[in-house]
Amino acid sequence: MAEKNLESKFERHIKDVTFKILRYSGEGDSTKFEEFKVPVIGGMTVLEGLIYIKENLDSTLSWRASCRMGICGSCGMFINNFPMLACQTQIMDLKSDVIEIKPMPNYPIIKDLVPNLDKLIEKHKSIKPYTLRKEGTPEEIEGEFCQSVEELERYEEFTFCIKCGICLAACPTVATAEEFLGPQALTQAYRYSVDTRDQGYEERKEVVDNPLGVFRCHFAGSCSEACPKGVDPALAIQLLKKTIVKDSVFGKKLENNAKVLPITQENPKKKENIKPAPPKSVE
Amino acid sequence: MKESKLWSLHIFSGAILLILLGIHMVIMHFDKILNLGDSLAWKSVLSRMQSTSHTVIYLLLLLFAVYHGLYGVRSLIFELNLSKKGRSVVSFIVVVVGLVALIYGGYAIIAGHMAKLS
Amino acid sequence: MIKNLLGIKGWAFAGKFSLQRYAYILQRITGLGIILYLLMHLYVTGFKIKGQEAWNSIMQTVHHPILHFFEFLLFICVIYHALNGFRLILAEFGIGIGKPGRQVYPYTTSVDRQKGFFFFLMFLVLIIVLVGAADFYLLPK
Repeated sequence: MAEKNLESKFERHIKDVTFKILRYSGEGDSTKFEEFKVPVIGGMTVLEGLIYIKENLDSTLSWRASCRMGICGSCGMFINNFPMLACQTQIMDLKSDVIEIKPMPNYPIIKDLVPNLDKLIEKHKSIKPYTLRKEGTPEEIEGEFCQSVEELERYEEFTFCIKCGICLAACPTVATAEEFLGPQALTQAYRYSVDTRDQGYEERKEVVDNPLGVFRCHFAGSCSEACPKGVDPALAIQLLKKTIVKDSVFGKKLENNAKVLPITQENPKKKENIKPAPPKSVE
Repeated sequence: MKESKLWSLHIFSGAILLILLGIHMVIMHFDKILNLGDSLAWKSVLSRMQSTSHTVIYLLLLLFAVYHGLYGVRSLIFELNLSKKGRSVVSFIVVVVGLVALIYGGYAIIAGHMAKLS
Repeated sequence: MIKNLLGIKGWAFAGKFSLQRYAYILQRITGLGIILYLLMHLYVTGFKIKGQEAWNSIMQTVHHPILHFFEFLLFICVIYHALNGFRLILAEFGIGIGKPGRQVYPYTTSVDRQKGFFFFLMFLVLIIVLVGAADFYLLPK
């Protein structure tokens, strides 16, 4: 029964592809490549290939994945010498019969394809990735912030970061300097600093403006090329450098003063004569 | 000093070098094409040595080139996973090398300008 | 756990990246070459204060064909480092890398936006190096 299902599933079978996967047991420091033959159907992603291997060929293979659609940022891998999300990469797009999969470089390996992202999260936290206020939170000042479209577009692109850590795997500076903040954290430092609602630039500057901070970026641009969400960290880092130099050399501080509007009790656009909602059908 | 200031100086010196080193390169390496005469012959070396404008250019070139180069070397070494102590040792060595280069080069340029050579 | 840091070889190769990645590593190598040369250069040209005799003798040592070739290599390094550095200075002050905006698939990045300028500069490097080569090797003294 199970076998019959499998056959029908692979009716649209195009070809067989060899998955060459770097295996690591989790102990010691020996790694080896292992090969698996995977039947490929149109539209099949690398992650689906890995699921096929785990279900049918070797259940001990470990990787990390969750949403299968490029939102959670768990499945960053080094596929055919390029760091990318396994779930967003179709096997046919790779145009090769052998797919070499390694865990993302620049992170410790926990097991097989599972990298340890602790450092990434630590760096991300160190730049205070939340809105800092000096003049009180919206609740305290009883109002809501105004933000124009132009002000939104200054940082909107950088909010799409999913913390997959691919940019750090691509970054040449992180390859040797573990303590370098990395594209992800620096991008978020810029993203929060230019948000008009935020007033924490001074605090973030302390973290970023040091010997292993933003100025160890040399615009190799690999982070932007590799980013699966189009965040463009390289751009944010250059703009961050510009902001900091403007401040520390020319004395032009970055100041955000978002306009605060009082919270209106009644919505002016509220329509009259709307029928009441139907009664609840379930308790 | 804050890293941002050191780095800005690095970038500023780079921009200055683009102009000064451009002049230096044209004089030294495009001498045949522009028909300036052999730039390494003693006669032209002497004339450059005794001209004030060249002496000023050389001094600025020395200052900015040494700073730009050594800051670059320092930032390269800083990227090698050093400890905090290792980093201050590197900074110290870089400053010493820079000072030696500046003193030796500055002496050669100024003494050359002052000397009565023929 | 294995550390899996790419190390220095990660400067040169960390995957199939576009040309700007290799521009970055070349910028490092040429920079190192130039600073080493600068220290040597200070020593050699320092001989001029000892007069014509000393200058001519040191020039004779330096005018070795191999050293002359190294000088030419260094000339290429300087031209490359200068023009690529010019690109980096512009980029670091946000010129020519575009503005952040709403991203629509297929994404364009600052690296792509700068590619044309990068190729233009590399073309310029080629031309200047060719002119330099003529001066170094073809024209008579």
